[in-house]
Amino acid sequence: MTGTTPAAPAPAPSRPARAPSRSLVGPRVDAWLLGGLGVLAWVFLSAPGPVPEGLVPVMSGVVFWILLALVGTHFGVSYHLAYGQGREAVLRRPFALVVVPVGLVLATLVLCMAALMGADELARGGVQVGIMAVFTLTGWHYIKQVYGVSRVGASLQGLGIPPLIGKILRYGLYPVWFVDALATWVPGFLDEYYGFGAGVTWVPRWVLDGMGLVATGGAVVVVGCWVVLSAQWGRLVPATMWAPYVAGFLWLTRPPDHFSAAVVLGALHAVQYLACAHRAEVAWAVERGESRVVMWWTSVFGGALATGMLLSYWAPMWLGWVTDGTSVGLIPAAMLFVTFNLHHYAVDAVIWRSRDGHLRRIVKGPG
Amino acid sequence: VQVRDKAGSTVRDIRVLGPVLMIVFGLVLAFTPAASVGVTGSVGNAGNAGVHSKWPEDGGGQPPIEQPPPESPPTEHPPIAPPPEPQPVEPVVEQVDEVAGEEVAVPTESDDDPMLAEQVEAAPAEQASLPRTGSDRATWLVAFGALLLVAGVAILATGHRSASSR
Repeated sequence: MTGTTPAAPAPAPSRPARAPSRSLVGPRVDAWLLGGLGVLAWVFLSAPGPVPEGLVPVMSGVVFWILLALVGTHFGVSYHLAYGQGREAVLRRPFALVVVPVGLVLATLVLCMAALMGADELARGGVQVGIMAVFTLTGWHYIKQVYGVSRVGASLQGLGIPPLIGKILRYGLYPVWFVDALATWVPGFLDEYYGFGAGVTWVPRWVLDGMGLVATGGAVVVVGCWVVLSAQWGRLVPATMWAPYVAGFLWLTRPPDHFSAAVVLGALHAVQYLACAHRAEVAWAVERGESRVVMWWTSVFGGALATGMLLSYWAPMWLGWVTDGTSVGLIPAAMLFVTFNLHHYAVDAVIWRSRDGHLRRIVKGPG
Repeated sequence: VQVRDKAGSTVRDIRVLGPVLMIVFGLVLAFTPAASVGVTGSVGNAGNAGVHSKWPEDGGGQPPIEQPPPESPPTEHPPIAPPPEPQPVEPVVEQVDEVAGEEVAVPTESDDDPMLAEQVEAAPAEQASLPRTGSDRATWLVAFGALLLVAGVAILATGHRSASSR
């Protein structure tokens, strides 16, 4: 090479590298998405007295379907984040991404076979174990996300958290999960779910009450951590950090009844999730050299909505409709519910780890 | 197997797969809404909703609203939304449910009231499926499916056109 010829066009001025954004969606909305909405909804739905007259029709109409769609989309997006990175990335986490779903499908087949062979007790017991596993682990899934999004909120602001305080913030939420899970283990819980036994009476009621006190103690310790962090940082803990904790504590330890219990909690969890997934997907698209980020984003979230609604709502309905009255009864539908929930929990347990690309994409932008 | 389209993307590409899923699921919903409101259903983490809606303080021990008796045939059920609060003065129909294909009124006070019996008979059929909106679930699902279908086609067409023009 001897240098460029004079006729060669001048290289286009390189675009200055954009500093990664310090917000997930927008600086004014992040805290609302990560927990503020949850706190507001809890206050509104926990208000004493009957649900306001005007709320019920709205909740059971368009809003109801929007809430379902949010839940379904968050399921669908998790599959894209987990499996869209290619075979190599999947095989780096073989247990959660391969063994768990395959094992759950096999378990479903075994239980259906057992029912067909007349081993009804085994089949029903197996489904009950699956349903109890979902009930028990849902709270775990929620509190892990609360901790995760709170750390993301701090990282986006460039606020470091000492390891010890990080551990306290993480494990301080576990009593909240235990309260949520123990509610299914004490007498007085559901007799049935999907026509199968749900709820066990392994634990006396006073254990649940005691765990509620422990959770409250844990909340006090967490608040103490925020005070220490505020002193270290010289500023108040950002709302993106505390809002998820407040919402999680309220909803999991003192859930309102009424309609909220059915889908509002799941939708709030989904909103929290999608705020982070949105940022990961956009950064991922840029990283891949995608010039039409909006098209990518729309395709991802549209596909996720369709897949999520299909798996989480339509498919169990359809399966129940087809198999009810046969020898297998509602086992396929119930096990589909169990499978996609437990699979989703396993997926989320591995894709949001600090060494995974998605977390880096959220905090630092495209790599 | 990867199948390339003219724009160079593959069916495993989310830009193709996403809208295709929207179209497929839109068609499924639009043409099978009745199946979608069958005997079972879950809304993702609604497993947890079962937990909360039957929190021990509430008494528990009752099947969730969507839960049919195990031996009942497929029927449409009321929405997940809870029944209205009981009216303290006059006996009114609190919830119309279906058990084994028959509508069963659940009064707040007494079954013996003749006024209540008249109200039960007068309850319109659609009230059993979605009493508070006047629309049943199938209507919502057809609309939802149609929306997915149109959006999926639009995304697919827009992406294909812009890729071809580059």
